[in-house]
Amino acid sequence: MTAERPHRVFDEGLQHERTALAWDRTALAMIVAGAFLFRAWRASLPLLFVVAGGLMMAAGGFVLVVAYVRYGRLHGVLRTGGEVTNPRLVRLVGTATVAFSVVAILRALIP
Amino acid sequence: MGFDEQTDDAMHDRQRRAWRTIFGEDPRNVGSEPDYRFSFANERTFLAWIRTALALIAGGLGVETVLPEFGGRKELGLLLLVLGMAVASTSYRRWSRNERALRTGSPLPPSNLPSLLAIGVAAVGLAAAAIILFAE
Repeated sequence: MTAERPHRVFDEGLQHERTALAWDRTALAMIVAGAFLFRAWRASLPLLFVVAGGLMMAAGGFVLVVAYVRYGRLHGVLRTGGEVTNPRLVRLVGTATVAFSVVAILRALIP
Repeated sequence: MGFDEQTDDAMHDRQRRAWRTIFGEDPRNVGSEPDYRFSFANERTFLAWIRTALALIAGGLGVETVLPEFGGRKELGLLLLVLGMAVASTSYRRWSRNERALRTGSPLPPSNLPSLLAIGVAAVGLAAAAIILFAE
């Protein structure tokens, strides 16, 4: 017995997939940017920079996992209708990036 | 007991106010849910701004830590880093404002950040070109 295939397009224009990929790209960018600070450990600079870089990389990994879980979950939401926005995740990524930029500026100010 | 509750309430009130000052009102509190495609487009725009900020910050860090020493290196890197911070620190509120406009059916709020960013990146490019041309 074969399951019936869906006969209604639930996401015209593949908005859902494109958004999930945008989250993935952003998470990867967070990991790469974090690595830029993390390599400060080789220059025996204050631990703050290594920790901040490591935290940014961890945050990127976290976003990658959350984006994956959310991608699956939203398939149901899109079929039944419901709230798709997630201000908490947006806040997390925004705040992490601002904090990271502050530490990066501190790093640049060190002689 | 009553006293503790009161100070607790006052503290929570302060925290709530501080939270609202930084993040503004939750956009889900106004209007009605828009077409999900608009919400997704707004989310992708936010993410594109974040990636732009991260690219500027990574570029600034690269100038500061990877490039060999040259005159004006520190200033060039700092300019990139400050641009990155400006983009990052406005990104959430921009997303939230757009989401609110989508939910209430009002026009999207204008922003001068794109022109600011264009001028900033052009300045970095010009400065880098000048350094390359005039360094002996």
